Amino acid sequence: MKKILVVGTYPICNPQHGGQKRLSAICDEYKNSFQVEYMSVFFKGFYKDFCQDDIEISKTTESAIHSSPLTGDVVCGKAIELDAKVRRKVIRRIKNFKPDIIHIEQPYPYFGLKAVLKEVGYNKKIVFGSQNIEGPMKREILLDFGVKKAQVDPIVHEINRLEKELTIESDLVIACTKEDCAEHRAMGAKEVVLASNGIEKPLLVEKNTMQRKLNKHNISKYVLFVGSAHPPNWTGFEDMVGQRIGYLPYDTKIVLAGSICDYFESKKKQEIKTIESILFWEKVFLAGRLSEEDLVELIQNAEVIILPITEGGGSNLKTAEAIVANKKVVATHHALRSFEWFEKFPNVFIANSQEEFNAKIGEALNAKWLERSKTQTKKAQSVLWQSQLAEMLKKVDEL
Amino acid sequence: MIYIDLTDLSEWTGGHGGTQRVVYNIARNFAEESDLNQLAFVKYSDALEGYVEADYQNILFKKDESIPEDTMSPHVGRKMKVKNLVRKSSPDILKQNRLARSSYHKTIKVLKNVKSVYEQKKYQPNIEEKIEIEHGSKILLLGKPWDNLNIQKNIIKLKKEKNIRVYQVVYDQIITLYPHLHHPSLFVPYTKSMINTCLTADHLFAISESTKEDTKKFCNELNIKCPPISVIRLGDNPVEQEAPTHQKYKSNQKYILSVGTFEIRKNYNLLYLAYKLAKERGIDLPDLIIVGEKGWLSNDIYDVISHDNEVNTKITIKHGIPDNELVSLYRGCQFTVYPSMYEGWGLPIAESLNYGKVCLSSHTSSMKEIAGDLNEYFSPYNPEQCLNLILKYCDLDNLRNAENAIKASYQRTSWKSTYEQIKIYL
Repeated sequence: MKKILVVGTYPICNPQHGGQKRLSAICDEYKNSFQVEYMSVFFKGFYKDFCQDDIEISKTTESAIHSSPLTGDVVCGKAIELDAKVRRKVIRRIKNFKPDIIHIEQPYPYFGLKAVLKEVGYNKKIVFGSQNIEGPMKREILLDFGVKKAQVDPIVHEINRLEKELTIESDLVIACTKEDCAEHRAMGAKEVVLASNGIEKPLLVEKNTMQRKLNKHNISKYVLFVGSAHPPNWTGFEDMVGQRIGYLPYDTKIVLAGSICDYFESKKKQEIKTIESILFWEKVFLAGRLSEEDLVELIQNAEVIILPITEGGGSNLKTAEAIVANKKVVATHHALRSFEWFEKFPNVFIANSQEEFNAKIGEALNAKWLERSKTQTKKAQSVLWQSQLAEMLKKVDEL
Repeated sequence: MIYIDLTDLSEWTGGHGGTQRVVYNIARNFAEESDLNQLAFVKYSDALEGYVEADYQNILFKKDESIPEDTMSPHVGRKMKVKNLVRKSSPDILKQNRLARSSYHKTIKVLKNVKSVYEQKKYQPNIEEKIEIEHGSKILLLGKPWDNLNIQKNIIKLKKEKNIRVYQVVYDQIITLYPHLHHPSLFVPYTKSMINTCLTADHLFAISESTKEDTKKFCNELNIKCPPISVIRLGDNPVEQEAPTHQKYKSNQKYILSVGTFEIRKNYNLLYLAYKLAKERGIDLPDLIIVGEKGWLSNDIYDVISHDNEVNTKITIKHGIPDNELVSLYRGCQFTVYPSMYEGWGLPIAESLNYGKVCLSSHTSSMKEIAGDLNEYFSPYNPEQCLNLILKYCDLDNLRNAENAIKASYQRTSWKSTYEQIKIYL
């Protein structure tokens, strides 16, 4: 049986954000055919749940993350070479496990891994698990946060160079979207396989923990947005939904769930100065980080699910969840990347400006929910991980 | 069934300000004119999280004539008083300063009172019972529910569970438009309340076209679908009882009257400047009597007027004037002045006209709606304009002409008429 070592920059033992979930699903699929080990080099400040096999960066390296938290992935990647403690552990893992394939998730680990692989004389297969074209996305995130262009340019340049290098040196690139596949081919990839994001088959939850919680806040109907603390989630929400949400009826609120709530919690603590912000906090409820069960319950009972995503590459896991949930959905075109076919499904409302997006939420709230056809129901099932990763598994096996 | 919410009036401990006067007069007309089998007066109970019966006989027919302490709501007023006294009483200055010592003792007294009230409430057996609101009934909110946001939470619950229809009087958008003219702590609860008012009401009654327009604008800014709004005209007689002859101001003593809470928004500063301007120019103006309870952010101008020897013999500020004495003051004055920066309506303007007196008022918000050309107007930011109009009406010919015009064409509005304008929608 082939042995695969998967390397990332975050633990996946309790996957919360989209990247963790994707990587966790890939590992699970690998386990069906290969002997798999996972190893992350990570910063404990970002991830509280981790396993024995994950490698924490040392205190000295942590200070680099404190000074630039938005490039934590770059720092963790470089730590594989530059952080002596990390380097030692990584080398030991590779030597002990003797992998036939090393799967590098996102380009970042390759910052340091490249030198380490050379040092240990690794000459077997490399698979590059791409989630986005990282350079342009990092640029957007850093500029959105007010980092000066002069500081952004060298970082992005370094990421672009690494991404290209890894693409060329890999035996297989796994990409999230058709557009990303084309980009990697253009960079010189030997082979590229499309593995769109998918989701676990949701469990049917029959409890009402969340419902009771919402009832306490007088919420009977709600519009749901589930998102991680990934910046495009909150910038998308702010750009597409904004604060002028007075069109929501008196008994309807927007419920935010997931780590995106951390961002809005900190925002809420800031002084409320305008009538718009007062309205916003009257109509938005932060459900916070939730267990998988609570999240499923929240999705099950939502009136409308929104996907206000305007930037970022990759395909959106939340979109896949919304497809399987079979709810009324209001989404941007961008949120449907890789799932373009979903646009033609019943109960789907597309909007690309704030005014239009809010109008569509209002429309969706009043609209009657429509049944899917049998073909549509079958197509919706294709977003489950098992379907999405089948081709990838085949290609990796062929290496 | 129609439920009339009397929460704020039943909790009010001071003399009636503008809002309380409106609630009182409309509710009283409901009690007198409507079928009491189809009507219930209620108040919100925090303890029971719902409506309980309001003792409307006591609230509406046994009006307390005691001199009010202030015009703030009972909760806010008490809190502010304790806060201010504590702020004045830091231990370091207690030893040196008689005023500080006195403040300190006052603080202790107030705190003891608060404690005693709290304990009485806590241990008093609760004899009130929550009323079961009938399905599909109507609720009329006459007051300003922003003092207790739980009232609107309850309204939302009742709308969902009992499919009630909500009717509400909207007074103004003052705090959302001019937050700087009020205590900063009011902006959030007031705005929240206004948002929920616009979201839950099936029909709003605005007390002026200006308030209607401001409310529509408020809804528009927040993307709220504005409920239907009809404009009601408020009654203009402050009280229907015989006025005693006022002790100090005899009928032959000339004075100008200005009525309204002594707060920053009412802009008494402008009258002070107009009087200073007259003094500078050697003009002798009639006395000015300001009648109003002390309100927001007015300590400085109060102190300035009180201690400025050039004008403090001319300007008198009076608090705690019962309605019957106010009638006497209206009747005895030459004319009235109302320099407010913004109003939802401007009850004292209408009251002035009711007594046949010209009112010189600001030209902003609703104030020109009340009597159009029968009054004269100035910019609330221009003391020169204000002084010129005062001088114009110090001329007896001008004054008589204006009074005759009022007599000939001013249409008085009774509170019964205000009640009827609301009743028609219920």
